[in-house]
Amino acid sequence: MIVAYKGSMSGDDEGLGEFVTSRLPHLRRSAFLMCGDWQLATELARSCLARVVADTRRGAVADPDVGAYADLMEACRRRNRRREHVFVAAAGTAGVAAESILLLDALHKLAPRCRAVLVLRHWDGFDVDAVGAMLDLDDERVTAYERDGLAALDKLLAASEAAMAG
Amino acid sequence: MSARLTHLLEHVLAGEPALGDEVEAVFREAERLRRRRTRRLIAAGGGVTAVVAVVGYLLATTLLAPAPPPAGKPAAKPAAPARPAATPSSGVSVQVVPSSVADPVLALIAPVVDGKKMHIYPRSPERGSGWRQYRVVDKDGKPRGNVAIAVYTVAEDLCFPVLAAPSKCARTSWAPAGVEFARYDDSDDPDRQVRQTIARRISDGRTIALMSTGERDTGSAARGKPALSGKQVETISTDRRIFDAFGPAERCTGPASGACPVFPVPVPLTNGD
Repeated sequence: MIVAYKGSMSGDDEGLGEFVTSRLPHLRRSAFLMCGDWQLATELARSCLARVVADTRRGAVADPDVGAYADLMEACRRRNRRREHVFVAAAGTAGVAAESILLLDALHKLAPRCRAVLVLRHWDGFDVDAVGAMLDLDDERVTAYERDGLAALDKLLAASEAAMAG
Repeated sequence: MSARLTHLLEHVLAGEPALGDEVEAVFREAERLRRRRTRRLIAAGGGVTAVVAVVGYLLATTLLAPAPPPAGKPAAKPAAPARPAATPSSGVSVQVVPSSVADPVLALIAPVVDGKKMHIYPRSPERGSGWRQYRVVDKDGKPRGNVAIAVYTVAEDLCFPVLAAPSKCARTSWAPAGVEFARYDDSDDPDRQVRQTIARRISDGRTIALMSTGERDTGSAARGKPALSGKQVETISTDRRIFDAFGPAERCTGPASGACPVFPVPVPLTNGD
């Protein structure tokens, strides 16, 4: 659950450092859930935070959280078009549980917007208003994406589990 | 499903690699972004400055360029302002001066000539006290005759001449601003066509004689036609501005002076004038 940043974001490096340190892990995980590749997720999170830092220094950011996540989701959406693999494990990590791969696979079968809504709502814990602002959607659309995405994900996971059991 | 999804997602992230020096990398990339934006801003500023300079240069050269001299004219030398004193010359060399040159007399005649797709410029001898002479060429640079204008002061009532009856005075017409005038157009000889008007401002006796002569000895009525029509000559010579286009002390001393243009119908001057 992301808590709205309360520190000073007036462009001083101390406040920005605090913001980046607190947000980078969250952003990277969200990016991973969106793209399924830890290396790509790291690059995307770094790039979007760098843009937020640069924009904040020149006073062009109203809400750094909304700006960072909106930027990240847009970058993931663009990258996702060129994606070939559902999941790419980080180098040197142990084997990943089959259940996790099934979940990622099911997530990536959803439309990018739908996936983004689920990640922002159920992983990052943003409310409907914030998600609407990040994805440029009205509240009804966010709610509809969430409802339909959860139902589809449930069905996909059930089918995958049945196949595994069979 | 909602709570289950959150729980499932936690497991998905089990193999998360360490962040390492990613925080510093974020600031390094932010600095690179800032430098790149600054370079772009400077480049854009330079581009805008260059465009403004080029547009300014083009506008300046377009708007301030002198009018092109008539094609095929023998005296295609650089434009020069009219000289203040007459310099009699037996030749027909001319100076190429834009019709819009700062000569108040020419400024009144030039628009009419320019409107006929022709060009008028001072001819030598071009001017003296109370008189001016101009040359006219068409758009192809072919000569279309001369224009001569002189101003006199006739204190007494002027007897406008009648060529056929030297002892009589012509019936005059009236123009606005108290100007009486008579036209003397002669197209009988195609080689010596003339349009002339004598106009007198009755308030002070200032009198204008203006003539437009066609090119002589062309052997063709069309080619020998004066640049200005009789009506145009009349309009210019009765325009109240033409009387003030000459200096207040200027007055043509008459044909006897030599330099003053000789008109087919001279302005009759008494000894007192």
